[in-house]
Amino acid sequence: MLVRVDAEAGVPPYEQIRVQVRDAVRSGELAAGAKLPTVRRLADDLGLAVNTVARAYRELEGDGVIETRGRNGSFVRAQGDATERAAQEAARSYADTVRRLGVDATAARAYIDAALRA
Amino acid sequence: MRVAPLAGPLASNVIEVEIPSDVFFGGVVTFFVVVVAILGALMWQLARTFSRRRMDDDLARWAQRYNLVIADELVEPLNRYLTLRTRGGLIGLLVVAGPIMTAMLVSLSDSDTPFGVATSIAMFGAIWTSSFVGSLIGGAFGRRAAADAGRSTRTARITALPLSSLVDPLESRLARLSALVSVPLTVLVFALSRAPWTNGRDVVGGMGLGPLAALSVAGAVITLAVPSFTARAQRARALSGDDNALAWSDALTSRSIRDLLAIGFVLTGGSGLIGLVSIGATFPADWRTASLVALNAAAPLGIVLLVAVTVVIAVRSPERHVQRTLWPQFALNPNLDRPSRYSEVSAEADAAGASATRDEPTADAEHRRDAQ
Repeated sequence: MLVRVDAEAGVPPYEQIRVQVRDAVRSGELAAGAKLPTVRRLADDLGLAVNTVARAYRELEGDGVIETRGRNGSFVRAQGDATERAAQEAARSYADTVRRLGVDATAARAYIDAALRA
Repeated sequence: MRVAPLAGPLASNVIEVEIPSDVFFGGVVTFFVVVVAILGALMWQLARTFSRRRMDDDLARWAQRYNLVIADELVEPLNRYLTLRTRGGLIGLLVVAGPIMTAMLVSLSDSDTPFGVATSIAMFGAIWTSSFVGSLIGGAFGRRAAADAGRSTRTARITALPLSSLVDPLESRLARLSALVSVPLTVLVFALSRAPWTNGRDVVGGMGLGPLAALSVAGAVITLAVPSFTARAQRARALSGDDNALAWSDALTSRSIRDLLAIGFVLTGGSGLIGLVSIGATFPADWRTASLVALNAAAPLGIVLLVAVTVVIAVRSPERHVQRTLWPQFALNPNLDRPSRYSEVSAEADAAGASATRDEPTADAEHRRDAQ
């Protein structure tokens, strides 16, 4: 998932980051449990001040979109009710497993379809 | 002129031949000329890296190799990166190739120097590896060149890419396969060479089988470390800037990862080849004919295998993997590659992204509406 910040857009950079991450979580592009880059690294990549990115992360955390686990970093929070959150966590775990096994995305989706049909 | 006998357990199987002195001297002179020519060419290439025009030409060739367009503001930082990376590779080659080739030249006149098939393979492997190591180090110095002159938009990646997006999966699978075959083979050959029936023949062609197994294990460790190196390499972005800068950053990260894979492959593939050639050392000491047959069969087989792997990888144009998989929109030549399943996956992702933006208002429009 890419984040683009336009310095000439008229929208504050922290707001651009916040909205793009929020929309990516809503659309499923950023899955529950996905780890966000550190504030310093994202600030470096976007050419922004650390405080600007930190503000975006604080607002996302306040909105319940992400959660910060201390020194482990910031992660996308599972959205929706308990059932949806559990399903999102299971999907994340499956994605990590197939990546580790070197299975490509098309085959991984085919396995899910087959399992759902069974 | 007598040829210096082979060292090691197969020495007793070799028949010494008499080579006329003038033929031998001619061979030495030819080899000397070749060594000087190679070293001279390397130094000439190194001098070229100080010529701006030459490096501009090389950058244009890089763009074709990676099939990526270069925005104007990326020319300077890419030139810097390419220059440092190229110098690193050449210096690495000179540092290792110079002494090795000189030693080979000296050995032709010194019958006590144990230069056999195994040590020759190991030395060529060392020369080859040195260029990758030098390129990696040079590339590390060239990273982090800022590239945002004149552009107001900066792009960052939120989630790290998997290895399969940066490197052709076939290439990484072959490297793992090489490690999987080479380590047990070399360890087994070393263990069996110390068996009672071999009379302790653990040196083949000047190469100790113990150090050979250690090299193979080192290569396997490097290969296995590639996934964690992938995550680390992405944390230190090569070029910062907009989408085009990110595309090149991904291509350069892919290059560094492939260098590491190549180092692992050279170590495991080279030591595996020597292990294959050294199988005769595991036979009982009086099985001389069998040892000779094993040597004569294994050497060409191993070389054919290595060449086949190199050709298979080269045919797939691995340098264009990042452009095919992640950045089709920045193709320098859009007609270069037929659609692969990887481009279908990224097209699928683009379609999913496009339908999401079609169905929902854009983030900016939503924010402006809220602000009003």
